[in-house]
Amino acid sequence: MAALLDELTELVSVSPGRRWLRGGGAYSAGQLAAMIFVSVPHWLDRDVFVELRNELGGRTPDEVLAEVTNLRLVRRHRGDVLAAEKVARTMLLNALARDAPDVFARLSDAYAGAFGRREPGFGARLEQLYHGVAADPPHGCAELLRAAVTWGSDPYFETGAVADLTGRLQEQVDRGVAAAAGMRYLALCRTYLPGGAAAADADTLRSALAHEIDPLFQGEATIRVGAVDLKAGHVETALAAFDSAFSIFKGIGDERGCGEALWRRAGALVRLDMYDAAAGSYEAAAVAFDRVGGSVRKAHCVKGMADIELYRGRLGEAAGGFERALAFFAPTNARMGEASTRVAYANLKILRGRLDEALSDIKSALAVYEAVDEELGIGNCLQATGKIEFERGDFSRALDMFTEARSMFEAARRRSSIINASFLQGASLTQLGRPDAALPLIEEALQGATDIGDRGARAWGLRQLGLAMEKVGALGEALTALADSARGFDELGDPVEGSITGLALVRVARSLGFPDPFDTEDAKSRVNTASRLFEEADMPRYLWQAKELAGTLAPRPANPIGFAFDG
Amino acid sequence: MGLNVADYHADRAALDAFARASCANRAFFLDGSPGMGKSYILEWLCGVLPAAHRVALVELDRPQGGQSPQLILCEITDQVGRDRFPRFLQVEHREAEGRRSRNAVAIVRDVHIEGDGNFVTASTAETPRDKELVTRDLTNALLDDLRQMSVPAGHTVVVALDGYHDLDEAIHRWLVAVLVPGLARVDHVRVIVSGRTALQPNAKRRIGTTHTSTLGGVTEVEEWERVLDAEGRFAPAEHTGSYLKAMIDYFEGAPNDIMRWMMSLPRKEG
Repeated sequence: MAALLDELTELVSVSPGRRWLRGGGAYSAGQLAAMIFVSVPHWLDRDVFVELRNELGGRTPDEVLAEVTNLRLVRRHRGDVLAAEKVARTMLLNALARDAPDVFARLSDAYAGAFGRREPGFGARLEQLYHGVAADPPHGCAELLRAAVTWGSDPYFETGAVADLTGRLQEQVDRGVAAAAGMRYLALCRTYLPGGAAAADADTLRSALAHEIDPLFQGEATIRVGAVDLKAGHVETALAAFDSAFSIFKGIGDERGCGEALWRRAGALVRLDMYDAAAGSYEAAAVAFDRVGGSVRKAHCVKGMADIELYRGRLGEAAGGFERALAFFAPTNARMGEASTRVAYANLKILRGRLDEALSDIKSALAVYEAVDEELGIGNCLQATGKIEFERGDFSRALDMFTEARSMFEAARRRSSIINASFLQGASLTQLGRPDAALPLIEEALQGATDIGDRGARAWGLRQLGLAMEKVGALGEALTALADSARGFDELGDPVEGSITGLALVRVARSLGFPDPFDTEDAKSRVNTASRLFEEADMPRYLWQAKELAGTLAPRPANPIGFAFDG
Repeated sequence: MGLNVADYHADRAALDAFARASCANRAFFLDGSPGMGKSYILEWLCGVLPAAHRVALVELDRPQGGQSPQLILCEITDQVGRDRFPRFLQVEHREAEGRRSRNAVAIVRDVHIEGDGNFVTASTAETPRDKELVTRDLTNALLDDLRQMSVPAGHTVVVALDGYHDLDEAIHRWLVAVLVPGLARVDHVRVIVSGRTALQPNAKRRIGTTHTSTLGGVTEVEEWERVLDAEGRFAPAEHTGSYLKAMIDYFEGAPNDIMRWMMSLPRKEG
């Protein structure tokens, strides 16, 4: 087979090649062929060109490079890198791919090999993958995706590199190379770019899944489809997608993929309040990430497990988990992950009455969020600060904080966060002696929690409703709401929140003279259980409240005692 | 290094004056379509400035890809002299702790990832916000170092950012909102941005004292006659001037295109 440069010379001699280059009529066929030859890559250096010496016919690499340089057909960049001018390059390659696709594919193959043999470096690898797409589209697209997934994942998170890869793939697709498959891979690669996951089109990905057999494509696209389903609230469907993706990755021995599928599966299971299964998934995901050096994702898994311990009222285990997660985040640059862990840990410390420690965590997190205007994070910090003010009895200031937090959540369009902020606003208004203002706010938020199927928020909201009802003297309604709340926490397996509600329930039941099915013995048992729990969980203030309440459950009912905080 | 293409005399004079310590402007915007000669003019400036000026000419639009704020900052420090940036190096070292060595080659399955020179690998900055925070710390450290840098009287540190177009959105925002205004606020620093439209008017307004030159092409026939002669070539026509004029009009004065065409003209004998 003739050398590629000779073939190109022949090609531009007999085809309208000279018109490909503006003013090209002034060049010889040999000069034009050399220009096209060096235009195939985005850049090259002498090392790459030496690799291609067998394709230059009778000419040496230095002769060809000198010619195109002297003719100003390429520009010299830093580091003795040469690159054809963009406009001319685009025009020439589009014409070559259209008029002589086999020559273009062979040139691409030659360059893929040359860049692949060059000393490894990001630019060379990027170029190798780019040419690989044109040389052998199915294999090239799969290789490019593999690199995009690796570079975009822990520990690299090089979204800039993924953007470069996606741009290179787009360029080949625009040129008519790898048409249908290229479009499918492009749709998937775009989901790795900032904002891309949110904009992912599930239908396009589903349709692509029916055409691509590459297991990495199958696994990755299935995860993306699941993520879109989860965002739309189709949790069961999402869970099935993550399970399926896990099986695919397991089948090809891809630990990173397994970790990703398990991590997302855990998140879906939490949404379904299936805490044991979720904790198991997080644990398995952490092991998988650990095996591939995914320290940030592993830290997220440890944090996820700590969150679950908190939801289940195991405060000691949760605290240990948050400490471990912070230790894993510390050596990384994942400051957003670290900040969100600090806020979660601060909420636990507030439950334990360690307000100064909590405030210190919140300040650290807030500094990170404010530096980058992260509204959701700022809102969470404001909300946690409001809880501290609430604990300290400054309900007016707490209300201001919760109101400000809510506006942040509204800006970030986070419905579940808006609902929680509304409950806290309601709790503050109740304590400020404005239960009439609190009630509509709480009722509306309760409806919201029901609509989105957030059982934890609903149980929590019912407690706030009960407390507001108690404040307006509607003790019957208060009792019903608190009983519903306690039942909700029981079903969720959250004994801490259940016991906090339980204290309020006993108090209201006692005020009503223990109507059926409540009685003094049941109340004592409930309060004693709560006392033991608060002691074990290191929650001294709640323990004190429980003991106070126990004292009022003497044979003769005492006067009702109002508590500062029943949040 | 000098230009061997027809020159933008007025624009070059303005750029040369700008780079001197006596100039009140802090930022210079060199606008112009591709091929108008912006890069050549910047290279010329770097060549003619006395050695006591410190100069960094950064290609924003690298043909190899892999551009990032960190890489741009490393380019500046490399060219001005890394030992002049102690705070930057300190932050860079801190950011690198806990991740792989910058020059190590990591092999994840069959994919090579490495730091060739300044391409920072394994950043573990998970989200775009995390990256923004890392970039912010590094930029602040670099600006601190520049403020503290000792520069001989009457001299400046010139930072020229060439190829401001088609940039990634995150890099674009950082350049406009952080780096360029930050550089322009350091007394002895002069920042030059060149590109299709070097910066939007709003960004220019934020920086304050600026100068904008728009390179619209070199259309003077006598300029190109001089270049033609210097290159030892001749126009295959009876009236060289008319012939040149037609080609200059065809290429709309774009120096790169005209030069490329001119280099294909026949050489003079002897």
